Amino acid sequence: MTVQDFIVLYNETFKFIEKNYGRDQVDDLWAVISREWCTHLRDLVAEKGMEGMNAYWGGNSGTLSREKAFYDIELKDGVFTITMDECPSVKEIRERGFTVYKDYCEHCIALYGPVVADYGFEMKSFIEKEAGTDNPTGKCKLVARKAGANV
Amino acid sequence: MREIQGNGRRQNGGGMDLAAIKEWFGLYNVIFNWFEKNHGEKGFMAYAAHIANTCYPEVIEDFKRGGLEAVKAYYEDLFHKDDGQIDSYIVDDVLTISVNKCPAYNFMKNSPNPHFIPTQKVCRFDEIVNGTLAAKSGMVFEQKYTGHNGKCIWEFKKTN
Repeated sequence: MTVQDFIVLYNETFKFIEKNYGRDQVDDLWAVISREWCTHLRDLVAEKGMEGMNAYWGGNSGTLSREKAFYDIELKDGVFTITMDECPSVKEIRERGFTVYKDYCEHCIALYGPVVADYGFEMKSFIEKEAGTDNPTGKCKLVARKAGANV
Repeated sequence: MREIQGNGRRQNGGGMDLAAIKEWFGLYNVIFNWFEKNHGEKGFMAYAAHIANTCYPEVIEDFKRGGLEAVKAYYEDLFHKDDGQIDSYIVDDVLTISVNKCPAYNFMKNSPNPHFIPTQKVCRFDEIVNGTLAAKSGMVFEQKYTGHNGKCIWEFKKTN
């Protein structure tokens, strides 16, 4: 098996699970992935808080650069923001001729939200969709702040 | 807390293709274990078959057109990109691929994540996907295990 095809398989995995076992099983898988796969993010946030988020996603060694995403990251006034201008996953799925699972973009907040919440941060995602459809445009924002903070 | 601004790739212009990251090998493992735990061996097998039948239409067409040489080129490229090591050769209409370093196995064995323990399901997934691609391309596939150590032998044979 290869990671070169992973995103296409990942997308089809969600479709297969919803069709055969229901939407709640997709949520169940995401919860397990959050616990069992997101351990590096967990370690970084536990050690460095918001700067750990930047270490995970940002810079040359962060996952977004390594995935060649077109994005920006800002940490300002206690708010950590990823602005995704062109999600590499959504782009890859479409370019390879597949339909993006209707809730594909929800997996990010489902995976990362619970991890950062364990260290006192609240994370929200804002997903842009094509007008009148469930189709994601590949643009979104992921915003984290200290839970309860008035910033 | 220091402020960070403009820490991204916007300034580089975008439009680049996605690059795979090795952590996804571990994610495969988590997904396979989830299937087995929640839906049993039957659920895992059905999932692997669905992936094999859904995700590779262009690969199958390439195999149909190019035969064993196309299969050989495909896997040589994938193993190179994934940092694996294989020996591959075609003799008497049989393509043999000796997997000397399985990239998935090696990534997981060297990861500190306790959930990245490679199981036989990783090998089984390859067997189902490769078997399906072969069958749809006029070939048969056999996977010979040489011990669960990141090494195995694949054989593709033409059937017509």
